[in-house]
Amino acid sequence: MSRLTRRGFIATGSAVGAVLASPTIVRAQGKVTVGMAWPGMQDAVWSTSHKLLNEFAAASDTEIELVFTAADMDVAKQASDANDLISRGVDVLLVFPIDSKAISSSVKRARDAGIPSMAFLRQVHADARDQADVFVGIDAKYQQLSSARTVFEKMNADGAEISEVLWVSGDIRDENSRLRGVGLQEACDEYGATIAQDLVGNWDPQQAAAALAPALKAYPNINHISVASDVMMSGVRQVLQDAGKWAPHGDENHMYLSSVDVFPIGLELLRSGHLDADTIFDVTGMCRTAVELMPRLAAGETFDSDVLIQGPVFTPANVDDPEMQAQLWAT
Amino acid sequence: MVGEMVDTSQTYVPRDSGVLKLWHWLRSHPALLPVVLSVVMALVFALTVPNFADLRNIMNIFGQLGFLGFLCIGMTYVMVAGGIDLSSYTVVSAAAVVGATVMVATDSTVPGCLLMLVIGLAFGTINGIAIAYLRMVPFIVTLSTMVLAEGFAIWFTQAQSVYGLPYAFIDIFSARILPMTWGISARPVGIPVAGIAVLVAALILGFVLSRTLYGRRVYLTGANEETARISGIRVRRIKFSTYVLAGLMAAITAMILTADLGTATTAMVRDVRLMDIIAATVIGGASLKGGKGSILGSMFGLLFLTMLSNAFNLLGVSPFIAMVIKGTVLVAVIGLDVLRAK
Repeated sequence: MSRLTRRGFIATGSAVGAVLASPTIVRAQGKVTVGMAWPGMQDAVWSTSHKLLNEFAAASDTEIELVFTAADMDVAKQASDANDLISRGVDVLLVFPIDSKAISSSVKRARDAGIPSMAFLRQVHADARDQADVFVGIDAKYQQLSSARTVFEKMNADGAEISEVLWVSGDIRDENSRLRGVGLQEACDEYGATIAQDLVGNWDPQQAAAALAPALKAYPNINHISVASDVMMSGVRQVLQDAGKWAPHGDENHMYLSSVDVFPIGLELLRSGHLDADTIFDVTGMCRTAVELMPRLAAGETFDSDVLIQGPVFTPANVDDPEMQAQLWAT
Repeated sequence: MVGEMVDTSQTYVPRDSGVLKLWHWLRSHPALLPVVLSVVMALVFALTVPNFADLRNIMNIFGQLGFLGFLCIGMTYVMVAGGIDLSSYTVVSAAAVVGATVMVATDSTVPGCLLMLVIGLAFGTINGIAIAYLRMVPFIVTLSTMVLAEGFAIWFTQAQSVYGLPYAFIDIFSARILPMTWGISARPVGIPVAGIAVLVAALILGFVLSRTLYGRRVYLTGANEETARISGIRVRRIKFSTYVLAGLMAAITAMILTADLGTATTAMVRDVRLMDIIAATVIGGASLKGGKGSILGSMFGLLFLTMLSNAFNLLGVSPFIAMVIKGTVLVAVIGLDVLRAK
């Protein structure tokens, strides 16, 4: 599970499109060399994004060379790697920060050397002295908002009562989890629902189960559970099975479930009809956008806003559409 | 020639073979092996790797020596005295987060730096007492303090980075002085203070180890503890002092890294770098059995590994191929250590 941080200004939806379709596009001449200071390759997001960035770069109209370094989660090594890339004279420094604060010093060195920088997935901390020239990340708030909104719509169509929602959140210290909670709150506000209880699952199925089991007894009439990541769904399934509420959509015992990420278990539960909506953690979209921005950044174009990717909502009805399948990366 | 005795030692390699001469020379001057390796490698890379000889990159390499150089110095003393310190890299994080927290709270550099020194010395003292006076096994003791320091840092910070350090602290320890221009570097490049600091420390502590009575006692303790004791050397005190010095070096590393990164975290230095530190020290002539090694050798061993990593990054070599090559170098060096001992 990725941990995201971000500063206040976000560009969502149409703003992303506006950034990408800007009429003031300045194309870099010739080859663009991009130095990648990556945390490592052990995590699925790190390795997948590395692979996808290479694929999109190879297909780009501009010749883009990606120079890859991996820091093995060592903050000091990531700084050294960034220094090496700056010494190499890359055109753009692309950083996937291990630490959102420590990376600021590398961003500063790049700027001192006249090299623009792009932060990927994890933003340079808002309090840091030096910010990256552009941030490409995930719109965490939109993820939960869109997922919950889809379920509320479905409940309306089914004639189900919308009143209270149980919220299985991630890590309380995690900005990503906090923003997903804000997204759920906005969806609830739109449909006149309230969050009955915030249950901290710490991105862990067993902790999610431990928190959800007593809450389900305290709120026996709950008919919608929103989960911060489908990585915790095995714990949710276990609790609902014990409570006799684990049934696919259409069954009278069905519990409406909304979630985020679309990991393999999410796909499985969408197909079985147990999970009603799941917004993807759109690594593909992020990589595509990052590659599109690289030549422009190298050419000296500046960006007023961050670029936050929203990603589509997977539902049982569209889960096997080829277009949706093309978005999958974690399966 | 049936039945005729043949002296294979005479015929296998001629006594005047250049290779043999070079081998004997390197065996008798182990500290010069990394010097020769580093110089040869620098020349090869300067001619073949784009931007390697650029001033910005030279200063980059020099600055990177400041990250791990102090830890290498500490490790050299410990290994020469016959021990090993696996905890140094987590002590860096523990000292850094505590000192940085105080700096942020007081907006003052001195108390935070002093606290970093105290934490580093405290862990060095724990290691020293357990190994020298309680006769515990260095590997186990320092493995335990490695976990202890890491756990302490995570508990102390709740795994959050410490940020908002006084600018004076960052500006002093991460400063670059005497800006100059050379090669493709269009913008002036300064000499990193961290690199100068480790150079000065290496000269002083190298002199102490190689030219003073204390240094000779450290060597004798590592070479043969019993003989050292019979010779009147206070072996426990010597071993204790090397671990305390290693703790001090970890504390100084904490200051330099914290300033360079502008933050203190629990993951400032990871276990992979411990391998680099040990490898640099062994390449520099130190023996895992003690009694051998030098600060000069360790510094050039570190320079050798730093240049290797740097060149791989400049060439865009996959970091995983680089890991394989570095691992191979390490195995070769340990093999060399075994050969040297024979």
